[in-house]
Amino acid sequence: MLKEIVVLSGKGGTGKTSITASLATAFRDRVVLVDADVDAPNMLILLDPEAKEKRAFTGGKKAFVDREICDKCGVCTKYCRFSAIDDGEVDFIRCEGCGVCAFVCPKSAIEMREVRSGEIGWAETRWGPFVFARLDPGEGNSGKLVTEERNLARDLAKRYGKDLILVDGPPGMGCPVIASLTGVDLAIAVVEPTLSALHDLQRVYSQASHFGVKVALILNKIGLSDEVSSSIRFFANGHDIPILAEVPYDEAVPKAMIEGISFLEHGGEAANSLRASLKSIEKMI
Amino acid sequence: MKIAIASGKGGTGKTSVALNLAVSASVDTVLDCDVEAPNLHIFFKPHWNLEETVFVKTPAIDSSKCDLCGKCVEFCNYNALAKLRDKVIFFSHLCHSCGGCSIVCDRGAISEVDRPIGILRYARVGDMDFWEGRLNYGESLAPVVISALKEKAEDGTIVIDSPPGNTCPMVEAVIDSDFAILVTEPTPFGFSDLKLAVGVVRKLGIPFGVVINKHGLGDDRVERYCKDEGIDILMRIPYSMRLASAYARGETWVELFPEMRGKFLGLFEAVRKRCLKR
Ligand code: SF4
Ligand code: SF4
Ligand code: SF4
Ligand code: SF4
Repeated sequence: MLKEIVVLSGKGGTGKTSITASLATAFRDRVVLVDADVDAPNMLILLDPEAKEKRAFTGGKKAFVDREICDKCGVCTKYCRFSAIDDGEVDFIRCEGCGVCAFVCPKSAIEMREVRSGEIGWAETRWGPFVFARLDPGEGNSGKLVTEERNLARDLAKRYGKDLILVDGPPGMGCPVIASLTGVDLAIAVVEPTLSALHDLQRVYSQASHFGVKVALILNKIGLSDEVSSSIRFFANGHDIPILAEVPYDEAVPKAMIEGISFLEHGGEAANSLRASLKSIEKMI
Repeated sequence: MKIAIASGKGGTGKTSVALNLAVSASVDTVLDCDVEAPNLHIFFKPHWNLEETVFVKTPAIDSSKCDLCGKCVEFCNYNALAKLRDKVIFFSHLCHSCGGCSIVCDRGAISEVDRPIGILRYARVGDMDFWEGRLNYGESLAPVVISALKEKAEDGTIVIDSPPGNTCPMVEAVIDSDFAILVTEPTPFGFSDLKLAVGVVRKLGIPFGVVINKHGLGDDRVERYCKDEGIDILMRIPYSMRLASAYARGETWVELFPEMRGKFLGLFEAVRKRCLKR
């Protein structure tokens, strides 16, 4: 049975990508890896793979005005909720592609056209097939892009006989996170012992539960603050959230990142503790 | 003067820079625009003086008037409406509140109602006005909350803690700033995120400079890139367990380490000069 796991953290910087890369190393041969941080894909940099397939992603539409026809009546400006059009001049950064202006324009001067807003593709890596995508700077609709990535990952899993999809989730709580959460089997939240991360965890947990997804924790960078680590354990206990692993603060982790490998491949204290927890992680999935 | 603190992504120390800059330069207003995961309050420990709800317009369908023509479903570019056998249903978390469906429905079956999607909170912290926005769980219209938040501060020196990333929420937070400070770290991830953030602020035409956090941790590709691109490095914050633990415990660097105050005042001065020059 195909299982899907998404690795999340309220925000970046908790070591989510390093952990996901290490899990991918551990579960190589059975995993399709997805980098769903389409806003700032980091796994891509770590792997620097050669794409097998790559195509443009058209995330949505934008309004295009025919200057010949437009008489600057201002009706579009009045109806646009995003302040994106001024008497027939469209601000592409603000335009959400809703199509209201095209509908209300009495001269039918506006056409909605699909525009490129990023790219999506996949590559063969030492950890198995890897799906990546990237939004162009300043573009929106990351939720739809993440959904397309997960669809592609399912195709690849079928094609290559893999039984696990591992998603390096997007940071935050917005549309891409919702798109990465819907219908997965398990969300692993990576938390570091900082007050900010504890706070983010509470939001991640509420959100995942809101979408009916089971949550487990990996406590990362133990050693930053014992006090906050205890608070996180307390929170986990109180909410029946299993802690899959406790990974110590280890300079080998950034070093591995700079070398372009996972810290599990690099070795060290962090690698040892994650390796020791693999059995319990496997049991969860 | 509006100064936005941004970074391609979280965890680079954006909140630390916003916090310590605001405290050392005693600015007028601080806005926590990271509405999906606001963190500044952890350091300010405010007593909230005020709370407001942020609403968006949401369609409400009167099925007694609806004849299932499907025009609204066809119109909605975000798939927030779907036609079932006997009614039209609505998925609120996909709706962008464009108002289109109520316009296209010629049976008058769709009206718009206010739906709460988040809150704004205010506190007086020392001599500063502090506002944070917070998006409700399961909602995705972060830019709406951010823009409501930004209406709270018009004058004086304003520090904006932007959301991580390079898409709509980040754009909304920085779009009308006088200057953007991009916080990065000297690692391959930091470097890649920085390049994306630079792409956005350039597209928006906002002057900017870079702060390198965790200086000494990685390699020099961020420094080389900035040099090649003619980007000013405004400050380097050393990689130190001492600073990391202070952050972990919710403490402010400039209050803990006096030498940091001078450094952040220097950063503020550098930004101010660049704003005046324009
Ligand atoms: S509504 Fe049509 S004709 Fe009027 S200003 Fe807009 S684009 Fe031009
Ligand atoms: S498509 Fe929508 S957002 Fe874009 S200009 Fe038209 S009304 Fe405004
Ligand atoms: S308001 Fe716009 S986005 Fe929302 S349901 Fe109607 S058409 Fe769709
Ligand atoms: S456009 Fe109006 S009448 Fe037609 S399906 Fe939608 S709500 Fe019903």
